[in-house]
Amino acid sequence: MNQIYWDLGDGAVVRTYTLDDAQALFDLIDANRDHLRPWMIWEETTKSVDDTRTFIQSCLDAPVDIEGNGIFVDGDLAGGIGMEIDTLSNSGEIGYWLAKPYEGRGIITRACERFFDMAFNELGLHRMELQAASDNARSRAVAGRLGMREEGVWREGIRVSDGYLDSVGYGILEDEWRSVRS
Amino acid sequence: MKPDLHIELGGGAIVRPYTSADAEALFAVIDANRVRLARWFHWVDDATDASSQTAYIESRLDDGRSLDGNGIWIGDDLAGGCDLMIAGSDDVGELGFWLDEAFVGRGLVTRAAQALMTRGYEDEGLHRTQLRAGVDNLRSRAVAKRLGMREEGVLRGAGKVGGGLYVDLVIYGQVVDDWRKTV
Repeated sequence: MNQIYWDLGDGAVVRTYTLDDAQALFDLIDANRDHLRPWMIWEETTKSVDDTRTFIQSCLDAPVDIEGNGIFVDGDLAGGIGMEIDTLSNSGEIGYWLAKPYEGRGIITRACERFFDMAFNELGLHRMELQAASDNARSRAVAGRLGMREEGVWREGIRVSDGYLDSVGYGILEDEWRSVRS
Repeated sequence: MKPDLHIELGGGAIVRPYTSADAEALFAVIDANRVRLARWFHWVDDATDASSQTAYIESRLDDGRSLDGNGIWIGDDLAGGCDLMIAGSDDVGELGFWLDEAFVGRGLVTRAAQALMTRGYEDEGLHRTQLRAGVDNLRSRAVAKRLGMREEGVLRGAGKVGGGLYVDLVIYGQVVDDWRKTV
């Protein structure tokens, strides 16, 4: 399990959750329910601090995936980010969310850049993917800023509280990331 | 808990999960088809002997709701494999299949996939099924069309195949409402 601690500048840090973060994570989700509900199925299943504690523990126990990382701004939890790794295809999928007050500062883009650097430079992955609901303009803009290419629309591939949303698939290959970074 | 599965496909063919007793047969068929299968599947490189298949079969016994680790059988002969993987929280199932060369062209994979998709939609509450096939894997892509799946994009370099190479994959998808119209 990779322990992460990255300083993104401007007071923003990404680090692996510990169980001590369970209360802050629940409180932040609870304060952002209307903001998260349209996109994130786990908003409605996160009912108490027991649920965030269980989530953090499952991330800590996961042998391969690097999920369960908090984004902190000036010491306060601001959102979450992580990646699943598919060892069969040697690729990773990034996922993230941010509380409303922290939007618009480029924090998610900077955090994703660090994950992509790790994926391609340290883990030796061949490809990174992102899926964003077709109506989630903010999330799709992140993919664009990262230089990912849109590869298709997977009909009704994302489950949310209200039903199912079309998912836009984005991908970037190792050599493409190197030219983005150079 | 893994769902029970034993489906008659007609013409003496059935789909059922492998048991440990099938490891030798599974390895023999993969080994006989190694060059063909390695064009599309990285796991062929990991199939080094019967015990590697015992490990694979056992790993499928504890795989949640997935309808995977299944052989397509004709009598006692193993003709190929067909799986519907169910992971994550999106109610999506992902098809995968392969066939021994001697059994190609009989519609076995199409029937096996239809049977698993029906189980997935009706019993496992799936909302969508999908298939990723190598861009040049025309047989696999033809199965997707016969299943009524729609082409939705091309995932560049997303398929790892034998020898450490990567191929582009076409993604096909079907939502449950479209499936209902076909049955």
